[in-house]
Amino acid sequence: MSIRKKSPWILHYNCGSCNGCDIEILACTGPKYDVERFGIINKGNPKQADILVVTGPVTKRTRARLLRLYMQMPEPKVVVAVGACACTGGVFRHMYNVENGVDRYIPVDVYVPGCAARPENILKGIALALEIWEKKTKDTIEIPTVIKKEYEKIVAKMLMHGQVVDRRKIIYDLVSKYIQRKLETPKCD
Amino acid sequence: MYKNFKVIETSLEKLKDDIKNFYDPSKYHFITINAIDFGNGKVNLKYFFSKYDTMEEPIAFSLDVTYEDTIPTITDIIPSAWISEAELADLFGLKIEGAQKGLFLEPDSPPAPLRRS
Amino acid sequence: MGNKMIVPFGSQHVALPEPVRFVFETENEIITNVEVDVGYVHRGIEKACQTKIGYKQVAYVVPRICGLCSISHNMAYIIAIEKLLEFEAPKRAKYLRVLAHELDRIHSHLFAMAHVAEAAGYENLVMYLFRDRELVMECLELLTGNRVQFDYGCIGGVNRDLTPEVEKELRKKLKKLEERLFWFRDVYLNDYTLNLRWKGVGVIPKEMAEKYNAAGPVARGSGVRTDARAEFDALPYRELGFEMVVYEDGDIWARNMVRMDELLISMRMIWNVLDGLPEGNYKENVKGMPKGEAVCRWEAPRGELFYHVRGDGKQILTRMRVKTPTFSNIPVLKELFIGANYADVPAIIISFDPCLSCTAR
Repeated sequence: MSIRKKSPWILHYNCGSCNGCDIEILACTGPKYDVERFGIINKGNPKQADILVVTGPVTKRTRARLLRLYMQMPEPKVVVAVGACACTGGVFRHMYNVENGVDRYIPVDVYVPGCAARPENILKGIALALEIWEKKTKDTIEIPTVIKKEYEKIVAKMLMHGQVVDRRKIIYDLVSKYIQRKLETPKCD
Repeated sequence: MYKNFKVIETSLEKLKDDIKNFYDPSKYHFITINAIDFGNGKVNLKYFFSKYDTMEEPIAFSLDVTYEDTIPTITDIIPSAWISEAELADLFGLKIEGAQKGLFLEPDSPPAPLRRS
Repeated sequence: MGNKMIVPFGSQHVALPEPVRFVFETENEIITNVEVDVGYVHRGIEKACQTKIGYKQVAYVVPRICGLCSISHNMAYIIAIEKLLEFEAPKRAKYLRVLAHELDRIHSHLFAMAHVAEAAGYENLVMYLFRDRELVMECLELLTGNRVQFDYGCIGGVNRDLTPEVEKELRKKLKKLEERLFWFRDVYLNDYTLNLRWKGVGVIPKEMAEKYNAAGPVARGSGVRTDARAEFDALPYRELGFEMVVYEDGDIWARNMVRMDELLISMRMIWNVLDGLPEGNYKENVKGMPKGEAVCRWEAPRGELFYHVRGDGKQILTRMRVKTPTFSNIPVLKELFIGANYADVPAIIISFDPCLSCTAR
């Protein structure tokens, strides 16, 4: 985990932007802004990426691709929406082939404003994304340990009573209960 | 009316012959095909050409068609015109020989968005 | 003995900055058929410009078609409208337009060349090019106030004047940049590995470029003499020392050398603008409603940009059509792939410098 924290890899996907924000993201990887000093590398592979950087107001043809990329990324993952049109649709809002922003399809953690977003802002956004990513990492470690204990208890009880054990169903019930509990407890930041 | 380009009027039957007689790949650059919908069921098509390396004004072949007409393709004279024709078929819903739909639009996009009626 | 394989390429790929999808049918690594899907970025800007946005605001919407050549869209539209209104911009405004547009060309070409170098695996050169590109970005920010979407031109002139302080700063930065450009030209011309990778790869003969109506550096790299700056009287290019760059080879190397030499020509035009900037207004009020039809051909960094506008005396235009450079380069790109080696595909695509957000609008 510490390796991933020190060098998170980003995946960049353009879903209908004007290339303005894209070239600013590429300028971030250049020598002047140099995002690589934080250990961040722009990789094209979703299965190795930790942060998804999305630009553009999600056109109708790119939405399925965007969802697929998001699904393929390993947990925990953070989404950064770069540019005015990725946040709200911007100047393209309510055009006939546009879905008005990334957050209609996937949960967005950081919104970076600007048309086009300045490299300084993009750097700030990625730094914020790293903090959120750390928080999420703690959450995901917690889940298996809690569930594991309960699962062992239940299985032992069932075996003692001579019942047939459906392991998948037990895990499914436990996880859904756990998520329910998480959602009900108020968040404190 | 036409501020800075020349217009040659033609018709649906004569279009292919006119372009065949006019077009010489080493002299003229084919720019694009453009359509204007006036909202009364009529569409004005313009085929733009320009001459290489001179200051001459662009030349446009202009003709009026309706949405029911089948427009002949010019890809046998100008092979690169397929992309312009596919765009017209997609965004206007015009019937063009051999032009496939789906260059830009998805199944749930509005059909023929640039049509006025 | 064919070993048939279907290889999808895109819409998200390491070598591609933009969403475009190719499906290659290969036989022993040689491509036999290709399908191309360019519609990933279609947003419907033309429809919005014809139905809900007034003709003066459209000048600030069309730059959002493409971020790399935003100023080309802005100015091509403005010039088309000025032709409709029969209005001549003041001379100072024309010179400032040339200045902003040529600076934009430099930044776009440096970006394209960096990408081609990346496809050849030359990481050092990429970083050098990106470092020196920042000089141009700073110049553009000084002149216009923003790094990418400038919205510099407006109907009747430009939105900002060039003050003496900015001019001094520009001269300082441009001098530094010019020295670097000569060094880059030396590298591109003489570097052994780059020549080995690029010479004779992806060749477009002159006949093919003419047959498929290629535009911009692609056509000029194949020996076709076409440049909208010499074919349409949009701005006073001739008196600022414009010259057409033509290479005969038609391969990736030639396309790059066209870009490289155009940078030096642009540099010369910028110096001429700065030295001979006329006094006077930089903006004038324009009255009237657009009535009639007009076109504008404009040399964007990737080739010929074409605007066709029609107004019927109302605030909202009847028709506004944009034909972008990559749109006319897609047919020749598709044809070029057949018979090429699959390993050359990224280099060939990037040497065209495709701009898909232009193509699909």
